[in-house]
Amino acid sequence: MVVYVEGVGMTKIDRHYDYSLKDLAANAAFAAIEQAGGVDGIDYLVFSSSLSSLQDNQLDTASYLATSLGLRGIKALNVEAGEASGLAAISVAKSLLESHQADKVLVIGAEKLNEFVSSKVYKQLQMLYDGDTKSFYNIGFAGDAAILMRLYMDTYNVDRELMSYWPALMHSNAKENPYAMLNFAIKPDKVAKSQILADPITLLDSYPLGDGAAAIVLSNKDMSSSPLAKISAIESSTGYGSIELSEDPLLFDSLSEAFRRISNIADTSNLDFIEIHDSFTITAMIILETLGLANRGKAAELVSTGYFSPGGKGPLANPSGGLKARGHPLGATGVYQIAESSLQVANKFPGVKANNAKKGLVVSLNGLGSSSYVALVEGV
Amino acid sequence: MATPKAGIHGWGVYIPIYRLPLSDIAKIWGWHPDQYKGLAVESKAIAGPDEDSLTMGYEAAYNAIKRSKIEPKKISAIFFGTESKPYAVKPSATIIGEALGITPFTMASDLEFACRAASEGMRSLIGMAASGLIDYGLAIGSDTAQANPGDVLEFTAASGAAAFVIGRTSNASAIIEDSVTFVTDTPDFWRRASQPYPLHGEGFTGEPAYFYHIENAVKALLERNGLKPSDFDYAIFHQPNGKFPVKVGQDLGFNMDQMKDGLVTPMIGNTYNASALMGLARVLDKAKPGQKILLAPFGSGAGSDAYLITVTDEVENRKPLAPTVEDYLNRKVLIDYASYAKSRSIIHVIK
Repeated sequence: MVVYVEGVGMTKIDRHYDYSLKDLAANAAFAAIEQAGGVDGIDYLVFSSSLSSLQDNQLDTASYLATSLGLRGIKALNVEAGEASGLAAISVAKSLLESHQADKVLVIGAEKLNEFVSSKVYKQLQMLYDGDTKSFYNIGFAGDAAILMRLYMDTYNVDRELMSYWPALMHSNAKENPYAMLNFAIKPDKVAKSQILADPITLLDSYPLGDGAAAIVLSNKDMSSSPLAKISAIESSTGYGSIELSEDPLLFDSLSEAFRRISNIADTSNLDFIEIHDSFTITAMIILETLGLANRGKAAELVSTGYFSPGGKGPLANPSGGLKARGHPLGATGVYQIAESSLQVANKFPGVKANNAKKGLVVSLNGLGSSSYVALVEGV
Repeated sequence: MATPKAGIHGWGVYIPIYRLPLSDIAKIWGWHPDQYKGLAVESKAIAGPDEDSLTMGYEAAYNAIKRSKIEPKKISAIFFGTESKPYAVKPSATIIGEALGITPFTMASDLEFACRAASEGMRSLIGMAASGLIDYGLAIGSDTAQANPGDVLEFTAASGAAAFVIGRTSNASAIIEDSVTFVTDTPDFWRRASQPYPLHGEGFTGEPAYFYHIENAVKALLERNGLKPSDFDYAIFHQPNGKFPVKVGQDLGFNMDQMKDGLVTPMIGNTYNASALMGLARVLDKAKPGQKILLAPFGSGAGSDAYLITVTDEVENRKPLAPTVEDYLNRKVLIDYASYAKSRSIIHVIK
């Protein structure tokens, strides 16, 4: 079943010292509600956040948030799935609509990564990886991805410099996006020379710590008035999320399965754009190859030729600037991706536009693929 | 009501001889070179094993009194601004006052407001001198700044002192025409009681703290005096690193020609309470009669002062009476991280 995006709202991703999680959530929610034509009919709030319960010492945030937004009485639910929380929340919202548990759902994703000093936040980000085998041994936030990047470069004989075109493309796209945190251009040769987080991953291979919130109003067909877009399908799968357990670590098994599932129920060919989960440069490369958008070992080269750039032959990759440069407020990211994609197919995105876009694929995952979510967003 | 005015009669500084290159800190802790190059600081001044904020404050005050050409006994207020006092309880100001021959008929106290305590002392002395409560007072800023080894703060936390004799306007080297203070409760940097090292809010120390307070203090000063940045010959800002003061100056409309003489941190690191005041001393070492100076110290927690200062003819007579900032900058011995660690008691010795 198809669900409709009635309205979207986003805050610029930034260091929002003056705004609490609820303030950010309210800013995004009110913008989405306004675009959707008001609160009438909204009967469910699905709230997505990864770290906020830990940071704010707060449980059942969705209920408190619903009441503080003036929506007391509606149903509310928290969704947490690590970095994939946002798209997981939208997936849950879609199920609620399909099962007629809800008629109109407000989905809000919000996260504050500048709530504490970075050393504490990086420690919290370790929680995205398997506790038994990773964070227990204090494997750092970029550590696993660094091993994966090394493996990728060694296996396919890919040059470090070739990997640097992705961050440069993301910054170039983000420069046009008013909601992006890092809206400035960088040259590819800056990437390898920036600070090392976990060799070979540098600062510019990774995402900034940003605060932000995004919201969308979803409805089923009966309730839809003048929607921006429709979400034709969402699928997901769990996976190893671990290099050492995986039979083929250079593909994300969960994404492979989620993509197979969505391709069974919807037409995923002829994509005009994609919004993918580039938490690190290497994550983007593996996603492109898992989706079959690039041959194995060839994603970096394809990116460097401009295939995924505006005006390129392939689908436009992350017109928002991606996690890399738009920013990655964990639990909000998936909601940003759907909001941006809805604006793309409505020809209303205020940044880099995919030409005459009809269809886009959104990919969100946690860590190195402990779970993967894919969504198909189409014009109406 | 006329703005109370006071004069700067003497100025003096002290910079310890030892310098630790920032590259050495980066090497020990495995920092990427970009981490410190962005700070625009080459090396930092380190107090020797037998020095502390007291001894350095004494040296700076000694120089300031020499330039003021007054008898120490004529000083009747001492404000010692520091965040690295040797005694948590027991005034450092009395020790310095006694050593300089100022005691016993003097006020004496230690002030705390992170890096702008000494500046608060200066503002207090302006009022005290203008009201006739005192003839002369001494404001000292001195720090052996602490930083948790391995923290980014370690790159810039340095040692140094600056002191000023403030009094009535007659026969002063420079006149403080006006001053403004702007403070808010902004927890950007702090050290709890009994903790050895301060904590800071990383990016939070920038825009909401340093830039917000300095910009507001300076704008208020300019506005109420009908002045614009181009009316000044010199502009001096608090210098936590080499980058912030240049950025805040440029944001406010000042240029490098106005700022370069007041920049000391790029050579010796951030001397905390002496940071902006050492810049003022360096400018007074060079300034010509009639020139106008903007001074804006900042302290975390947070607040900034902005001063409008005009140099008088008398400045030329005072310059040669004590060593200049340049003399101290040129007097240096490079040390390595191990010597610094020993000197600053970073090595934990079991006794």
